[in-house]
Amino acid sequence: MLKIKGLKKSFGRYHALSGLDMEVPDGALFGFVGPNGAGKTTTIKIICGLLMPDSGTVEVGGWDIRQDPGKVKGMIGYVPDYFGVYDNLKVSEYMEFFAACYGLDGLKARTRIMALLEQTGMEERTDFYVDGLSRGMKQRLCLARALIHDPDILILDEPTSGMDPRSRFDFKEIIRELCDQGKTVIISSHLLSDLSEVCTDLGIIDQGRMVLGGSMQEILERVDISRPLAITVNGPPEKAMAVLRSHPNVQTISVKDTDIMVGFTGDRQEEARLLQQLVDAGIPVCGFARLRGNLETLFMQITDKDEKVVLIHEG
Amino acid sequence: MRANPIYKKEVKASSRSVRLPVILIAFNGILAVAALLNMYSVLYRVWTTAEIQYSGFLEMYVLVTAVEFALLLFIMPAIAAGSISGERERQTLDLLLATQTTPRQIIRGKLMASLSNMLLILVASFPVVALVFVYGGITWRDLLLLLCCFAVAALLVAGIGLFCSSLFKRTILAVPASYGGLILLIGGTYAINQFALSISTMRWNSYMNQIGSVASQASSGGFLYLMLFNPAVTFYSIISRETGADVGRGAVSQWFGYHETGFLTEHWVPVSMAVQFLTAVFLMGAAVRFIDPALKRIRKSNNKNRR
Repeated sequence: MLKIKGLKKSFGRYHALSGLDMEVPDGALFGFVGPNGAGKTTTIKIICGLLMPDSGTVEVGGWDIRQDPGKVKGMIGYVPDYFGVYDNLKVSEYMEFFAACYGLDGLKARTRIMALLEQTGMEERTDFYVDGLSRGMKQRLCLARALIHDPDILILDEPTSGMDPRSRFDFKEIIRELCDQGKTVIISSHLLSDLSEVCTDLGIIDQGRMVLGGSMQEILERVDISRPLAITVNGPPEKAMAVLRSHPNVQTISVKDTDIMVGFTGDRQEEARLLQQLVDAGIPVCGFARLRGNLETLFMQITDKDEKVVLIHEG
Repeated sequence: MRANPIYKKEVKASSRSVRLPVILIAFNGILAVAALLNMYSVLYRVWTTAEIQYSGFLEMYVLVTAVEFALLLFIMPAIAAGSISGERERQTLDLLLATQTTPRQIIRGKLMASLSNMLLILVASFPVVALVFVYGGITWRDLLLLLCCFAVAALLVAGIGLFCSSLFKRTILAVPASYGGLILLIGGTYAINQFALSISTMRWNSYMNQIGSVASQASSGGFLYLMLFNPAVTFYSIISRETGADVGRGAVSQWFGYHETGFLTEHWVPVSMAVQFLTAVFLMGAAVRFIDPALKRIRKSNNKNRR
C-alpha cells in the first residue's frame, strides 16, 4: 500500500531524513516509532503531501506523491498531533466543511457524516461547538474528519497523547475496528505498550533512517533474543565487570546506577553458571534476573545513545 | 457549479463573529458623521448668507467617497491579512492542504470571503452615499465608475493582505506588513515622484542660470508611471473628473512637472485599474506559491541550482 524509497529531506543544514526506506503492507496496522527528532512527523508530512522531499520516492497505492498529489491525498486520511479546529463551527458544520473539501456534499455527505459520528461515539454532539469539546472528543472528531472521504490509508500522528486511559482504550478499539474494515493504519506514537497491543507491523526510525522494521512477530522474536541480564551488586561494580568481561557469552555490558545490564547469549544453565562464577569471585550479588523483553527495551537499545555500552564480543 | 468550501465556511464563521457588525457600525458611523457634518455646514451657509452654493453638495460627495475609500483601504488589510496566517495559527492550514482542496482554491476562497465582507460594508453604506443624489450633480454612471475603482482597490489591498498573510506565519506580523505595503504603494510612489521632481528642478534651475531664461521642463520623468500602481491616485483622478476639477486632461500628469500627454495620461483611470488588477493577480499567485508545498520545493531547488 505504501512504499518509500531513499527518502531524503533537509531543513537548512539539518538532515531530517537521510535515505529512509519503508514499506507498509495492505491492511496493516503499522506502528511508526522513534525518538523525538527522528523524522517521524517529517515522513508523515511528506506522505500527506504537506512537504516535498529533496529526493526519494513515495508511492501510495501505486500513485507517486509528486506526480499525482491529488490522487494520493484522496487515499489518505491524516490525523495530526494537534486538533486544528475552528471556533465558530459546530461539529456537524466542521464535518460538512471537510466533506466539501473532498468534493462531497448533499445527502451523500450528510449520511457519511452521521455514520462516522456514530462510529466515533460523537452522534449526540452534532450541535456542539467544536471549540467546547473535551480533548478526547476533539481527538475523536479529528479521526471522524480524517475518515470523511473513506480513505484507504489512515495516518495518525501521536493520536492518544494526553488522553485518559478510558479514552485511549476506546480509541484503540476504533482503530482496530477500522483495520478490520480493511483500512491500512499508520500510527506514530511514543506509547510503545499501546502499539505492541494493536499493531501488526512496526518500523523504528532513528536519525532519519529506518533502523528496524517488519511484522510484530519478527520484532518480538528479536526482542526475546535481545533481553539483557540485570545484575545488581552491593558495592562498586568494577570487580563484577572484570568477571563479566572475561565470560565468553557476555556480548555487551552497560552500567545504569547500581545495575549492570549484560547482553548475554545463553540458556538458563549458562545464566546459573555465570551467577555461580560471580559469587565464587566474592562479589556480593543482590539481584540477578533476565529483564522481561518488550518493545520498549528494544526501542531503548536501538535508540539510547546516552547509555554507556561496552561491546565485548562482536559477531 | 460547486461553491468554494473555504468561502462557504468563512461566510458562516464571519456571520457568527462580532467583528463584522462592529466594522459595519464603525464604518457607517464615521461615514454618516462626515456626511451629516458636511450637510450641516452647507445648510448653515444657506441660513446665514441666504444663498445656495451647489458646489457645497459636490464637496459632500467628494468627502463621503473619500472617507469611504480611506476606510476601505484601512479595513481591508485587517480583514485579509489574517486569513492564511490565522489558519496557520489555528493549525488548520495543514489540514486543508492535506485535503483535495488546492492551494489556489484556498486563496480564492479567502479572497472571495474578504471581498464579500467588503462588498457588504460598501452596500451598507449606500444610504449615506445616496445623500448626494438628493441635490443631483452626480449620475449613476459616475457612481458605477467609482464602485469599479473601489472594487479594484479592494482587490489590490486584499492581494497585499493575502500575500503578507501567506508570507508571514503570524497574523501579528502579517497585518503591519500589509499596512506597510499599502503605505509604500500609496505614499512611496508619491514620495519617489516628489523626490525625482526635486532633483529634476535643481538640474533645470542650474541649466536656466547658464543659458538665461527658458521655460522649466522639470518633471519626475518615467517615475510618474509608478503612480499607476497607486489606487489613491486612481480615485483622485475619477473624483476630480466627476466634480469638474480636471476637464479632459490627465490630472496626474500635472502633478510632477511637465509630462507630455499620451495614451497613458489620457486613459489614466482604465490603465491604472488594469495595472492594479494585474498586480493583485500577481500577488495572489505569489500567495499560492507560498502555501503550496509542491511549488515551495520547486522554488527551493531553483535556488540551489542558481547557487
